Amino acid sequence: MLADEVPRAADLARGHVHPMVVTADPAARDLVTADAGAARARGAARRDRRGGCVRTRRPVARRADRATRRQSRPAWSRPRAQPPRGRLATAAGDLSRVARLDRARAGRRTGGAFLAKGRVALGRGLDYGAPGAGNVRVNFATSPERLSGAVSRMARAVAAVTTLAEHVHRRLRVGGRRLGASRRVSHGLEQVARDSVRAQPPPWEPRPPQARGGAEHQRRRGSHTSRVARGERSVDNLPIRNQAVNADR
Amino acid sequence: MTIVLAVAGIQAMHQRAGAKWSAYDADVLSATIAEMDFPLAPPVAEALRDAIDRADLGYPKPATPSLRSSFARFAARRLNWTVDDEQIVLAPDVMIGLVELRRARGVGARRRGSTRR
Repeated sequence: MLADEVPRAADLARGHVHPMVVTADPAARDLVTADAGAARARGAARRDRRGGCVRTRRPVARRADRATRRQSRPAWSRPRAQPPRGRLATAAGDLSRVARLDRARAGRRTGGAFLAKGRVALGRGLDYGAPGAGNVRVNFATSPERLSGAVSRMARAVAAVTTLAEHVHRRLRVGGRRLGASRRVSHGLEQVARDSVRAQPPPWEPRPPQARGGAEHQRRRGSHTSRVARGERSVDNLPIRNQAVNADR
Repeated sequence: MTIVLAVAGIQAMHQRAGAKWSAYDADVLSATIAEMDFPLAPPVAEALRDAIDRADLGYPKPATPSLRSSFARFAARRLNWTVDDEQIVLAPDVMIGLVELRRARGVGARRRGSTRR
């Protein structure tokens, strides 16, 4: 299936995907193969998987772990404050949430960020056995020019996802205090993600047709339910889902 | 001899029936499975055309001595690999070759009546 061929946005976000790149273009390669902070970001992603607080960005230990740790450690050695994390680490935490939104909105088997944002189809490393986890496969049996084009598209996908995550992060800091329950936080994230996608469609994607108001447009478009039934896609090119599906996340 | 390795445009690629390009939208650049974008080597294309023209599409016979010795010479020259050309057999593709190799070596084969897995 098409969606299985490419890394999911979640893999990209958690730092699970380290593109193996063969290119004659050093700038594109540097952009894609991440940077000096990638290792830090992976560490943060590991912490994030254990569970992290959205607002303070501190890891939240499970209750059992917390209790055990308290009893087994003297007061002076109990962990208090976490050291500040770099910007990249914070971004990695955000990316996983963006990816989760992506899945929540578009279904678990959605195409990867490389395909969706960069319009480049890659092989998913896991399809080639367990050692492929965390890698994507790039076929380089093509011209150097086309290979550079593929890498540029990968870079643009990474940039698009990163930009989105940073946008989400900024808005979260502003509105985070008001949003108490994690459910409401995710709902707010979803709004922000949707708004930012709509506000700035990536330049390489075809511009969606301008939204037309009026009764005639509404009549032609049909009801929300009928659009869901027809499998139509929204202006940001995502499948239109019943609201209940998203609200649950 | 200079070999020019030119590839056709993306639009032409999307006309192909293979899984690499046909599975994606027209604006997608595909770099997935191991299909080449390069055209088929002219001698290979010529041999295929010739076989098709003559409807010469029967089962393969075992590797001929000339093919075996040709490959042995190629392996020695290009790969620095000494091959006993008496041991060369043909396989339809790489994966089937690997499967046959596992069968021949008994690797991973589950033995009847064995308690070990």
